[in-house]
Amino acid sequence: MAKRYHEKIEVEAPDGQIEAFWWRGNRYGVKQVLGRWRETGEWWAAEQGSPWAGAQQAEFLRIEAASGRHGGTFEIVRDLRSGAWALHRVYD
Amino acid sequence: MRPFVHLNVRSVYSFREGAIRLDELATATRAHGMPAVALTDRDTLAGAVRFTQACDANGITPIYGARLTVGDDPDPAKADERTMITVLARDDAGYANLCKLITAAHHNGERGDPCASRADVARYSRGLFGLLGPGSDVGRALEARRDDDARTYLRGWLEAFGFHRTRIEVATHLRPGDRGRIMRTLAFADENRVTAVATNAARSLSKADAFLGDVLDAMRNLVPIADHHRIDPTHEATLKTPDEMDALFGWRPDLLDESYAIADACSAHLRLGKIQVPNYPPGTARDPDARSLNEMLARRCIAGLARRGLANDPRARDLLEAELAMCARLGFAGYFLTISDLVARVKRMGVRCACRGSAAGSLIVYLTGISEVNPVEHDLVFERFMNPHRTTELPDIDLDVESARREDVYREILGAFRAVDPDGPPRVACVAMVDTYRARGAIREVGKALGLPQGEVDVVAKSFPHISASGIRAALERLPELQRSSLNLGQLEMLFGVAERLDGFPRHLALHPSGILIGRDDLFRVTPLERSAAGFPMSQFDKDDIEALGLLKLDVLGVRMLSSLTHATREIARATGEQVDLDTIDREDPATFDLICASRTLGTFQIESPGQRELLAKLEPRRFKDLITEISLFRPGPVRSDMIGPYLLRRHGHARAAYAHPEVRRFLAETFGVIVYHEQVMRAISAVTGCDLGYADLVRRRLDRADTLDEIEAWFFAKGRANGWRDGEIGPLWREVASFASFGFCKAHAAAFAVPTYQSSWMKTHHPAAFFAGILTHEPGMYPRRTLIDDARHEGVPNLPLDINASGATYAVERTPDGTLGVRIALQHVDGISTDEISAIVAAREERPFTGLADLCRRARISRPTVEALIHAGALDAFGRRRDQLLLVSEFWAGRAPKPGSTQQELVLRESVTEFGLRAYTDAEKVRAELEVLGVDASRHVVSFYTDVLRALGATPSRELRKQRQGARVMVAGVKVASQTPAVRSGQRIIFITLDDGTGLSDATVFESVQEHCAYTVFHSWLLVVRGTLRKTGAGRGGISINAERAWDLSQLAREHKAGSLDIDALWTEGVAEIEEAERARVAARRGRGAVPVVPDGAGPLVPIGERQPRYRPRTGEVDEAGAPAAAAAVPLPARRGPIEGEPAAAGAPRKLWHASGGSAGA
Repeated sequence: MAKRYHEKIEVEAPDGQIEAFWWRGNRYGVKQVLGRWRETGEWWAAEQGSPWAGAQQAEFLRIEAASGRHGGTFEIVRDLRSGAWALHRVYD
Repeated sequence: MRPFVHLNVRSVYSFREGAIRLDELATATRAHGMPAVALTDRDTLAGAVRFTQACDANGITPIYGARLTVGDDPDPAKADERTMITVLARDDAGYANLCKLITAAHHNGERGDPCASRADVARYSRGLFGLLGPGSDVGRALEARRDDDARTYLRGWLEAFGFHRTRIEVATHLRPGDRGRIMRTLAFADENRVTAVATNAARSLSKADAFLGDVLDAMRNLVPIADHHRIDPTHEATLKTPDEMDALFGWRPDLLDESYAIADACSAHLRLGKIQVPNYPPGTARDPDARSLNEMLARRCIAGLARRGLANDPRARDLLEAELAMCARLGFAGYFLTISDLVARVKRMGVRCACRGSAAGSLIVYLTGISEVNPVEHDLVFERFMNPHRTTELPDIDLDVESARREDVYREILGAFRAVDPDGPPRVACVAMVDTYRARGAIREVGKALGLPQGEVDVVAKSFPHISASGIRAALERLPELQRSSLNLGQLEMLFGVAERLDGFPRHLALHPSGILIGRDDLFRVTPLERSAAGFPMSQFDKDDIEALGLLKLDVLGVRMLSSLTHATREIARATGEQVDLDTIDREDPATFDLICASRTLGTFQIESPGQRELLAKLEPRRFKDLITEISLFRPGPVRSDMIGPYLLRRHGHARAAYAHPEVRRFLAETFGVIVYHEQVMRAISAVTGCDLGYADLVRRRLDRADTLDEIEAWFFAKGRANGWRDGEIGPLWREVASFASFGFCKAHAAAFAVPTYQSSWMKTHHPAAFFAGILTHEPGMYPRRTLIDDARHEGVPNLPLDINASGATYAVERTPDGTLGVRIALQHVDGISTDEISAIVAAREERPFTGLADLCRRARISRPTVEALIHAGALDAFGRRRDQLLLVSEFWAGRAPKPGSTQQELVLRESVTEFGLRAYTDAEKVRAELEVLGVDASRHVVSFYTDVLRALGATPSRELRKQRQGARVMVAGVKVASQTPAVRSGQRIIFITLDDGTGLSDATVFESVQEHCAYTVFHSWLLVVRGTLRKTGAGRGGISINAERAWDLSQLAREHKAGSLDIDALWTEGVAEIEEAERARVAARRGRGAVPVVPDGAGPLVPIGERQPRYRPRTGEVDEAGAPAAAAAVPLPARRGPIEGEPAAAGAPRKLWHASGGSAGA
């Protein structure tokens, strides 16, 4: 079962390679990157603003990670404009 | 940086799919440091020439290709089974095959749904790379993990392209699962020993543009944008830099290297800027050598000398020799021979055909029968047409043919070149025209794509075609229409922002209305051919592309006047047995020039507009050459630069012609020392500087460019002095040359146009009934039919009413009982009648005449509205009263009387008609019915119903205006037949109107000072009374015009008059005091300046800018009078057959019955 979240996380990626992320005070070490893709927002539904400034774009990573004994598959997402990371989904 | 080349790129020419503009593609490719780029549009090469030009300008190598749709079942329902492959031309053979493949794709299946078969690909694969990407059958099978299927598909492509030219294409737009898919694909490639290559399947230039892809997808699929059916959700299909590509595929550098290797192997390059004269005769295996072609042309020209009676004219022989030498030097012999054959073919079809433009200046063109203008007689110059200094493009020949036969001519020309090998590929094709998004259309489609309410978007689109996204806030404050809109600011900004980016995007390929491309035998290797809606082969290139490719393009224009003249000559032959050959009539016939000088030129070619008629009256043409001058002078340039004034003064002996130098007299004497023609400018430059006429033409073309004028002036003086001219001689000539050069007119073109102008005037003079039958049938000019019908009345040609047993499909000449020839109103203009119904009526009547309503219904089988329209307009008057017959029709269709066609019906009918005994139509009702059904008041003039009120007002009939003195205050009335609001010299808006009161036409001019009082009425009323002062122009039977002061609606005045509430004195005195005060001030001011008015009327010759050829027809529907508020422009139509009392037009115009135009022709 997958659970949806939208919580801010901190990511450790010293030379571009993601090693770990921090969520709810726990550090999750990344074992493997399973997939990587991008999505753009629904620019046409924006209340205001101009599509020609570039649509909002996000990068998704599906990773296998664990904190101690608690592990699983996670989807984390980065807003490519602000650079902020968030947890998107957890598969138990 | 690792080298990379984009091999999969869709531009805006992938209609509604790609968003990259070609110039941006080339500049971005260079900016990113890539040496080459491929263009792979969807089943088209329409962008190939512009792509080449953009690449050449940026120093990068173009690679030609296409994203090709392949499928073995052309049925659109099976579109899912189709596959996409990318093909790239490795060499010229590959480019030729690319053309053939795309042609094949467009000839399979439905039009607009191209699809090449696998067999086509196999047949035309030589020289092509085949790239099998994620959209190919191989890619899709791999995605679905059906590797066995993928192998089977791959084998098929390998058979076509071989290992050397087959590639597995990988690309990622960073979507979920991409990595796994790519890994599997690469493993598959390795396993099958096929080389793989990386692309980015780009379709937008950058991320900032990527949203356009979503918009285009939504437009193409006709659905609003929504997340669940986005085709490209990641916005990664951009023209990435080599570094960005390295970030994606750096782990397999061979994929990037391979793109470079393929680019390096591609050598095809379109050759631009080199003339490709069609081979002659077509279909020969090898061209005859140049010498024998030149001899062939020379022989044909010498035969032409004899035929044209010029065999002993030394000037003609010398000129021919010079032209033939030039032609041999430029290698044009095959070109002239081809066109000469073609014109001969068209003429053999019995279609009138004339050549227009500068080509008429060439003697070869005259002698080979292409043109009917003798350049020796009119002292024309061939260098204007065939210039030895311009060798990158073929000279233009434009042919005018009868509008009604244009498609036949197309078929003949296209067939003529096919005939050599009926199954062979065509070497003649129609030219494409790229239809682009314009603001209004873009807003509508974007609104739909964004899912905005269509009604609201429509309002916005209509109101603001020219607004920019950045101006939207300001517009919101300024314009009430936007405030009322339910769209919020964000939505409006989005709408305009997106539409603005789409502005100018190609939308689809359309058929050019007149262009025909005549290629060489290998045309099918140069351009892909589509099929037009009418089934003609159509090149994917437009006329600019074709010019750039150096191919021959012919413009074949349909001219309604030519159809009118043909109709007229046939009617003469049919009604009287006389055979008229318009090409051999006397071109100096005094009676014809009497008609022209009297400005009785309504309906004739070129010289029928109010401004033209005014100029005719002033200029008084008496010779054919005067007509050439008149046509040349009636243009915005000459008017603005006061060319007409000095010419007229000298022509009529009020001023003396002056010549700067005796040599100048030779070519300026014909226009009394005034420069009118391009040819004169060329001769002047040549005379002073000693250069040849071809070079002089190049100089002439640069004269309207301010940046080089000083340079040319210095050269002009230096050369002149060296040739022994004094500065006092060069100076005045230079001033004339410099100021008139860009305004002058090509005399050859004017001479070509003067021919139908003269022929139509001659026809009107000598065969008026046939003339009117011709122009009523084909409506070549600017005036509505009712004006032409009325003009026929004035010219003594009776109008014979619509009659079911006499009216034909077209207007016919018919002898009336008193022996005069009249015009019978035709069925073609009966409101709502179909061509099938017309044929049915004519065919049934040829068996025997109709005996009654039931007989008509039974034998012709026409619809109820048509039967009613015919009765209403009086076509069945012979069988009874109109009301009775209409009632009977409604009984039929209500089922209360036997249906037409049943056996007992005719009996019932005969009795019924007499039984009802309803009231007959009054005269007014008859006229109103005619206006409703036919758009003409044939039986009686509309204004004749207003004689009472006009008499009471003291209005002057048009016929009597001439008896009034200059400056007299008069009232004129009539039906508005034309209104024009051209831009004029001073920048003020001037409205021209022409009224028709049944005794003739009156022209009135509404200047800006009184428009506040008049404009609304003038634009919105159909029947007008205008008060103003009379001004006469020209001598003798010169023109007459009214300077309007006030205008009223005639039917409103009539109602007030009937009610006894009309204050006539007030109408005559309103505003007079202030107008006279203003006039005194104006005259005083002018006297103070001491300026001499060019034209004695003080207003200047008012010529509509851009009014050149009468393309215009009365509009139906949207009225577009400049200055009229858009919302109020539509004239309310009265209810059909409403109650009528006394006057036929109480509720406004029954149809759009007048001509209105703004600044541009064709309104």
